[in-house]
Amino acid sequence: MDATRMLSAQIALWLALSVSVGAGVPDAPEPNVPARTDPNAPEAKEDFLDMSLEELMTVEVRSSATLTQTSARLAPAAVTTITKEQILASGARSLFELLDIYVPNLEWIRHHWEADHLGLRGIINDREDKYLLLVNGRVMNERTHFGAMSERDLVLLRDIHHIDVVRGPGSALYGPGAVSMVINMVTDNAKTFQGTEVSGRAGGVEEFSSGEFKHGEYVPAQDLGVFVYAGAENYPGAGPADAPQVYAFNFPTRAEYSWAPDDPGPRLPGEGYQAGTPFLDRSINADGATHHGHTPMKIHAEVTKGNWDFWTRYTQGGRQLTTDMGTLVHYPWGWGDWVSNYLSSSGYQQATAFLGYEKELRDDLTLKAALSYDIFDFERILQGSLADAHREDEIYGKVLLNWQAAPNHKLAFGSEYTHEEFGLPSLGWPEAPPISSLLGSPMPRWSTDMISFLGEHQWTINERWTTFLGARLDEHTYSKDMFSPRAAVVHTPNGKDTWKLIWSQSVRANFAEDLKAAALAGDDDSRPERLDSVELRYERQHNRWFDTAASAFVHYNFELLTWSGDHVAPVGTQREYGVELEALYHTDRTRLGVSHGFTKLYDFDLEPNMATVNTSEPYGYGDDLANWSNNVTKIVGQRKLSREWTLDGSLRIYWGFPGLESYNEYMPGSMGVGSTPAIEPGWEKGYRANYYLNLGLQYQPKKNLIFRLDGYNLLGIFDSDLNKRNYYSSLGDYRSHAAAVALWAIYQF
Amino acid sequence: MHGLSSHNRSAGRRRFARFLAWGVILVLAGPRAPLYAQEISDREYKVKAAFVYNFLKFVVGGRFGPGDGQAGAAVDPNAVILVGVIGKIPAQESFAELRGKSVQNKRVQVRFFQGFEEVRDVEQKIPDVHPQMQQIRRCHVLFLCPSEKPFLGRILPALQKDGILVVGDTPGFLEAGGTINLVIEDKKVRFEINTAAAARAKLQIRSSLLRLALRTLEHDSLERRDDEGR
Repeated sequence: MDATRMLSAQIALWLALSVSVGAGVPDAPEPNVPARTDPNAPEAKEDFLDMSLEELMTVEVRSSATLTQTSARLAPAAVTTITKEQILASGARSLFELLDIYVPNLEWIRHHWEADHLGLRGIINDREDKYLLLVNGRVMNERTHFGAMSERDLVLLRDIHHIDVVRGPGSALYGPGAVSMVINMVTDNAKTFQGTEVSGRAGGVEEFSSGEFKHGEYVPAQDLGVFVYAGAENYPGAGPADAPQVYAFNFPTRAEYSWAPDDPGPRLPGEGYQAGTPFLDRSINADGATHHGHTPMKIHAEVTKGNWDFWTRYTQGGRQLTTDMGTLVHYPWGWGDWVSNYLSSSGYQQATAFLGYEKELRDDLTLKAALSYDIFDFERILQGSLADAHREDEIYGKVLLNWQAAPNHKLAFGSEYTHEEFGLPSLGWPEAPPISSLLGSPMPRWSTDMISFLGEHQWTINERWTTFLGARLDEHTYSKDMFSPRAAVVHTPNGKDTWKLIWSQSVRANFAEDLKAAALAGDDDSRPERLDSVELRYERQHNRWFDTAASAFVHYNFELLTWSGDHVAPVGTQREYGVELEALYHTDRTRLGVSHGFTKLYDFDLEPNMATVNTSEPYGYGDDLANWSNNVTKIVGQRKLSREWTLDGSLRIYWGFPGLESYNEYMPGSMGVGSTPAIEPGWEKGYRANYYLNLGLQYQPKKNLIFRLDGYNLLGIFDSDLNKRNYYSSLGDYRSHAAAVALWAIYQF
Repeated sequence: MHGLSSHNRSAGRRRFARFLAWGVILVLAGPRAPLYAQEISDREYKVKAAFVYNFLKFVVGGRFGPGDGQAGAAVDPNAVILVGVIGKIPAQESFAELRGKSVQNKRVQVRFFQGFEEVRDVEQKIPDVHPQMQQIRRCHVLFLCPSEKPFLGRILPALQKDGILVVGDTPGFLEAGGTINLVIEDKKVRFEINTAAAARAKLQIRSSLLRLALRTLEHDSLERRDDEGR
């Protein structure tokens, strides 16, 4: 059934539903008599006026997963919100760590050739192209080569007010690229922060130091607000002994065969290497160390005046990459001086200016508009040589109208325009013409345009039923039209229970360099990636202390664009399903959250003449995703010991990697002569579970002064393998995070 | 520059237009039941009204009397606490539900006053002094709605010594001279207290309430204005 027919069938279903539900609505009470039950209120007998102040301070009143205004309870998505209090309580040293702690069914893996990856519900890739990273609602993804690159590695987190992670496809709201999730970082501004704050952090074992400053001022008489933030860090990281790299292959001590008849081969240093042990040679970088030659930093400034909002932001960062075994080893000669420079890393700098305007035109009509300019520099170094170095500039505009069309109907509709220039030389970076690992050097210069139309309808049928119907159309220079509809029903039968049924289709255009390469080859109408998904979600507020939620989802049609061996292309169709369970217990002194995510591949159709590293299922080896742990559990707790002291802790468990084991059975790599496998027989350490235990102790002697001591990956004190983190498309190897500590001091005045 | 490709453009736009058309049809054809489901702001303001109600238990002096020392204004001899709400409130019934409640052995009454935008004079100018100022001054507690944010400079100085607990929920409310400001932190309602404003109004706020405040402000713009005037 094609998309149009499917959509028409959905809408017919809506009409039928609305008629049947509407027919069952009891006669309306008099309009000036408040409704007996409020679907968003706690149980009727829990009157807010009967609560104490301490009890009132635990009631949540807010949500962000719609174009039309709605409450958190009715939002047609699974949304995880991380507040700044939770950021502090986690002690997280990066967005990677922060999201890994809090977001159900999200996973973080390493990569030898690119920056680290985040994935959700089984969707993870060799680039960060399956989700959108936003700051204050503005997409920050790099478009040429990698995707969501900036912000993630920085230990500088004090500018963030909260982060919303919309779990599941979101292109209907946020545009192409929101395939698995949307991460929206909302910064502080003059209305959320007034005063001055300075903070400093220092880490041991995994060494780092950072300093941050922020200041906010609001003048109500002029409705004028100013907020500024600046932060910088130094991140040497953890050495190989503390964060050991472990390979799955024994490297011989010395050459077993001569290079040539008259050349006995090199004299090799060292005592060789035994699979499963830490590889401590100087060729291994410090884990987490900064991208070569750059100081990670962040600067943000925002001015709000009446209906206007202007902010500008600059970030610089990136991290080094750990050498893969194939670079070190050439069997049967062993390891040695094959590569003179083992330094590999990737980094970025990004500058953004954003101007927003919001005005209530009438009681029932609000206008939002935005204009923004963004510059993104991306650099990737592999074994000391520049592989990618290019800049892209983007100008973006948006107009959106929110209309309360009728008492029960809200509409939002608007349009966006994006113009991008690619293949520009980097600003202030080593003097080199722009280079792309795909398009070569000099990289061509080209531009693209994208025009988008979007809309959403929210219909409050009655106090128990609400529907959402939305869609977005994106027309791109080098891609087929991208159409992303979404339909959802939310049922609130009483004050405690909420049911949500969500169907959506999300799309993504390929990377700009791949689209350009295809256009140069005669195809300027590339096929976009597409994910069709359905989700059923249930949420229950048992009482004011205990909430539970469960989601069941099916990605029944994921037409995947991923690495095919030499470029990103349509590789096949992936199908998976999963379940997420969440529970939260919260009182004024204790907070305990538990989540468990399960994701399972059930089919993968490989395109003809294509290869995939996502799974070995098409090749007859197993039926799991290769770069994913089918089960992941997360526990986060906090206990206020006293007015001054608070204890925090988190535990994440990735329960194992059967898909990676199957893939390594299918393709154990090859080490040259005799096609010797690159994985020792019986290797299984790489497929075991990963455990990450963090503990933190906070001391707040006064309202405006906080000290924290955090311990990270503490199980590594007993066995470093417990803290391992696998690699994308790896040959069974992994690198463990260091068991480390850090101190944090925050002062406000 | 390569222009937009024409492949499937019209087909895609037709698809989107059909989608939008269905939405409009649903709007026009759907049953027009009254809006039962509460807006996000209704819940928020129910909670804020409950906060205001609780504040009454922690404040003495001023118009609440008796407190330590002399009250700055006459104590209302009736056993009533009058809660005034000025401006356009997103959920009026949230505060209306305070009617009939009792606190400190007094019955709560609620009175709604129009905001400054609604009391424009015949020339459509916004007055410097609210025409109902005399009645407003009789309140023990005043809640200034977000609609009154542009007019804080007109009303707060006039009320500062009347012994009234002035509560708001807008950024900068404390700095402008309000006594307690309600804010949203971590998706929950919190509050911050201006002790300088409380002192000017001869209000004594119990330490148990001060301890729960997100922050306390000890100097505000009205204090500075008073200092400059001396």
